[in-house]
Amino acid sequence: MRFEEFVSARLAALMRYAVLLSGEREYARDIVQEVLARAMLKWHRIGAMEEPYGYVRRMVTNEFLSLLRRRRRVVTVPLEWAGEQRLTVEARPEADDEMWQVLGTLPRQQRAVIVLRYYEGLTDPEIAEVLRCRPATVRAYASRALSALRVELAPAGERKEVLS
Amino acid sequence: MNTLEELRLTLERHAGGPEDSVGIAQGAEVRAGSIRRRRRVAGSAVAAVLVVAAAVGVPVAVGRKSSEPPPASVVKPHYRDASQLSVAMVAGSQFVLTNRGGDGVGQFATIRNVGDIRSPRPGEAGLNGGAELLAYNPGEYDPARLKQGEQVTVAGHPAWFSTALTFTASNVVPEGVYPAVGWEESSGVWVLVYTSDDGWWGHEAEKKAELSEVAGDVRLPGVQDVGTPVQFGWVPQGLPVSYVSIRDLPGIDPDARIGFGKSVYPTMQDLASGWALSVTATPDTNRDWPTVKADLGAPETIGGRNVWYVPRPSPLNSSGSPTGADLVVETGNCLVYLSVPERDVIGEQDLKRMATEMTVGSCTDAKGWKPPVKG
Repeated sequence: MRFEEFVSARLAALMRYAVLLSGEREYARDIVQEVLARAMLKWHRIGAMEEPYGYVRRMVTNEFLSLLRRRRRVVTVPLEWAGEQRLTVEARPEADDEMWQVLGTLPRQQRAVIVLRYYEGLTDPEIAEVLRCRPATVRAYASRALSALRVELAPAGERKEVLS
Repeated sequence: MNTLEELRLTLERHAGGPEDSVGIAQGAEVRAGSIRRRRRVAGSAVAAVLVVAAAVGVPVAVGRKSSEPPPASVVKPHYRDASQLSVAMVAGSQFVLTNRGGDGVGQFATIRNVGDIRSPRPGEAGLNGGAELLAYNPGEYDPARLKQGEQVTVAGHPAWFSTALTFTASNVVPEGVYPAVGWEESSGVWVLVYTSDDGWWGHEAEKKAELSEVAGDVRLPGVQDVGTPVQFGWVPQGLPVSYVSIRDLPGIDPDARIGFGKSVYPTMQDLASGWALSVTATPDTNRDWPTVKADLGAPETIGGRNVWYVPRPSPLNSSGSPTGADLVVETGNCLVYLSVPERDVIGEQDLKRMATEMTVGSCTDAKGWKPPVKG
């Protein structure tokens, strides 16, 4: 698969994923752009993989989780408050969604687990591979996050699935 | 209580829409080009160092790419060391320096309007938002292209306004051609004040006025040693400080980054990297730290502080050199990262000795910060 084909097919999905991870569109754009730039430079290897999306998604996750990267993101005001951006955000009535707000307060690893599990649909072993940790750690992150989100795990069938 | 279905729906609703992806592919292409150029510069610089060093047997400074090519032959009087800064805003200005730093070539700064910083909706009041700043040490900047622009007056001295200067990427600005106001100080320092605002095309007069207003408040009263929350009594191989970047404005989480030794990448911007050793000090208020800390395992104790030595690749540093390592020190209200790109060159014992001979001030209040290396 050529890089352009990958971007055409997968950019929107990567962006949705990054927005859910970061909770902030501009930050998500920053992450995805940086990752795609680095992926482009070694596309001869990534493009030959069976699942390039999985690899690039892992790059996005790592970029989001990297503690040292976060320091580079200067927390200052933008030069201009983009009118279009403001309208986009404010036009979404669910911006005050309580669960979304709580998601934003979760530690990043926990948030990543929630997004990978319930949005991307990955299994715990797959998430463990993305996060370079053990499946048991993934389950622990998920348990803590679901508790903070006050997600009721009943019915029993689903509780087993979540906490197994 | 909520249900899993509600969680899934929340995620679906808040995932970005197609409009969020606009321009990312193009931006990635530009960024990839920038990375390629950095690598080329790094490669040619390393080759030049090896060739010249072999020929004359002395260390040679690595070249850099600035926003404009340097003059062919100039005298470069000493103005400041890399660990000294001189850029400031005039007292009473509506603008402040939210981030500042420099290397052996010059200084950089982010200038923002106090009104925006205090506002919950920055920019909404229509204030002059500020600009970015570069200040080249004497002899480090060729003003020929700038002087092809329009001559203006800033704070009573001659200056030029240009819309044809190319700027490399920084922490807050992508690579691009941006409007700038520039002038020469009596010290020989060339100062460029520029903005990356995309909307400047067709609004040159407005941008010129805004940049001139910012530039009019910039002063370089004299060089001062920069203060950082950490001070080292020992540095491996006696590496000199070659780069500093600090945020010491009250009200914004302060932090500092220090580069030691020569960088093989272009610097004089807040995305600089590539030193033989770098140090980052940040407040420990990051809510992810407890989780990351748990994953790092039991710490060692050095000088009463918790310390973790983490070879890469690791969750601490996903984009750094995979042959590098980070030493994390938890101390007071600071997290201090000592990072090396080659752990075979500067190893675990070196970093631990640095940590042993390190004093740490506050990471929530910049008052009392000291020079990064004990004099």
